[in-house]
Formats: sequence, structure tokens, C-alpha cells
Amino acid sequence: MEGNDVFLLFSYVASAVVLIALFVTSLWTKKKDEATLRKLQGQIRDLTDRQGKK
Amino acid sequence: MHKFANPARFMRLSNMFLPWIAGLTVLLFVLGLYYALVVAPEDYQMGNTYRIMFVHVPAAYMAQFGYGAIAVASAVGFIWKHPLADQAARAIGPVGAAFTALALITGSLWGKPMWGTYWIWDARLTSMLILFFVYLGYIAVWQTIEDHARAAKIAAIVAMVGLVNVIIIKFSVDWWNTLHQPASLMRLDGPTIGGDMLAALLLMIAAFNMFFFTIVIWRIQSLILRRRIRSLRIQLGGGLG
Repeated sequence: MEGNDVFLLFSYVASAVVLIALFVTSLWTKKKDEATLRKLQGQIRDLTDRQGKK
Repeated sequence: MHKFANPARFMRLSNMFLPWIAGLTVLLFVLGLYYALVVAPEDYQMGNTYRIMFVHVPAAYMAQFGYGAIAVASAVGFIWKHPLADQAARAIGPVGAAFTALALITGSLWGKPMWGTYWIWDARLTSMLILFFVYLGYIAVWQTIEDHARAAKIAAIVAMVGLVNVIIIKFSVDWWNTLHQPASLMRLDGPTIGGDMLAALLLMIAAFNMFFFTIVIWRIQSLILRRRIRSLRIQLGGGLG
């Protein structure tokens, strides 16, 4: 590895870190929101069923 | 256009296209990296260090493209009250900021071996740094203002005013005497690089573009889900009325 190649290596590592961070945070946020929505929809269904039985 | 702006239809269509876009992203990255690191020849003056441009140029391009997209979406949201436009603009903000940060980091890593310094207050570098701060300001507007309609209006104004800086970035290398090299790709007389180097650069730009769309679609979907979550919480809070 030549002296200047370290800058090349760091630039590709930095790019990988930024892209992976964007990928993971965006996907994780979406999955979390989907789970929250499903949970709330379940609660609404339960509440609707309970009100229907009264 | 308005019929595609329906959030439910957007969710359905985006879920249908997302696997293809994500697959294309992976394919373009594999091809782009192969061309950038293996096929493209070593530069006779700069050696292998020039390969930094294969990540730096796409990041800088996406930083400006992202801001342009925010400005267009904001204008559409501001003028026509398009239901998805504000959400799209909001979703792009953090993604564009990340690409701007990446362009600044890789630019610094290019600057040290090529110019002998990580940073210089050159017109291109300074205007890119300003773009990063404009992005942060744009994100801050959405984070700090609770009323959605008001936040969208102020964010749209910030986005449209900040567009001036993107024009300055583009022409900074022509208007001022800068250390940063002039445009080598988007020129009226055609690109100044060619062959495998050009192919590698175009493939990496396409890969970054597809990656950008994948992430932005996920983020728009998230914002739509959060609006549904908010309305369900209101329903639950009111005991379903």
C-alpha cells in the first residue's frame, strides 16, 4: 500500500459507514412504525369488539 | 399526478417497486465498485488516489440533487397543497444532509494528498459547507415546529431560498478562481474524462441515485405511517368516540 492509498481507503470506509447508517436507520424506523401501527390497530379492534358486546 | 399523491396508493405502488429499486441498487453498486476499483486504470499522475472521485463526485452530486428535489417538492406542496409533496421534501432532508457530509469528508480526504490540505476556504468547498448548514436548518424547522401545516410552509420557504446556494455551488468553479477543479462531467462540450473512468463514475452515480430513492421511499413510508399512528392514537384517546 502506497502512502496516499490510506486516503483512498478512508474515503471508501467513510462512504460505507454513511450509506450503511442511512440504510439501517431508515429501515429500522420503518419497521418500528409498522409494528406500532399494527399494535394500535389491534387495540382499536379490541376496543371496537368490546364496545360492540356492550 | 394528484391521484398518485394519495398516501394509500403511494404505499401500494412503492411496496410494489421497492424490491426492484433495491435490487437495482445492489447490482449497480457491485458493477460500479468493480469498475471503480478494478477496471478503471491507474492515473498516470495521481496514481490510485484519484479513485476517491468515484465516491466523492456521486456524493456531491446527490447532495445537490437532494436539495433540488426538496425545493421542487416544497414548491409543489406550497403552491398546490399536494398531499405527499411536503412528506417527500421532509423525507429527503436527512438523506441529503448525509450525502453532503459524505461529500465534505471525501473531499477533505482528496484535498490532503492532492492539494496538501484537508480544508481551504475555497468557493466550492465553502458553498458545500453552507449547503450542509442549510440542510441542518431545514431539518431543524421540521423538528421544532409541531404544527404540520406551519412547519411545511416555513420549511418550503427555507428550501426555496436555499436553492440559490445550489446554483452558487454549481457555478462557483467558473465564477471564482478556486483550488477545486472545474466541472469534468456536466459540461456543454462533453465530459473531459472517458473510457472506463467515465463508465465507473456513471455507474457509481447511478448506484448512489438508486440508493437515494430506496432510502427516501422508506422514509416517506415512515412519515405516512406516523400520520396514521397519530390519528389512531387520537381515536384511542377519545375511546373511539
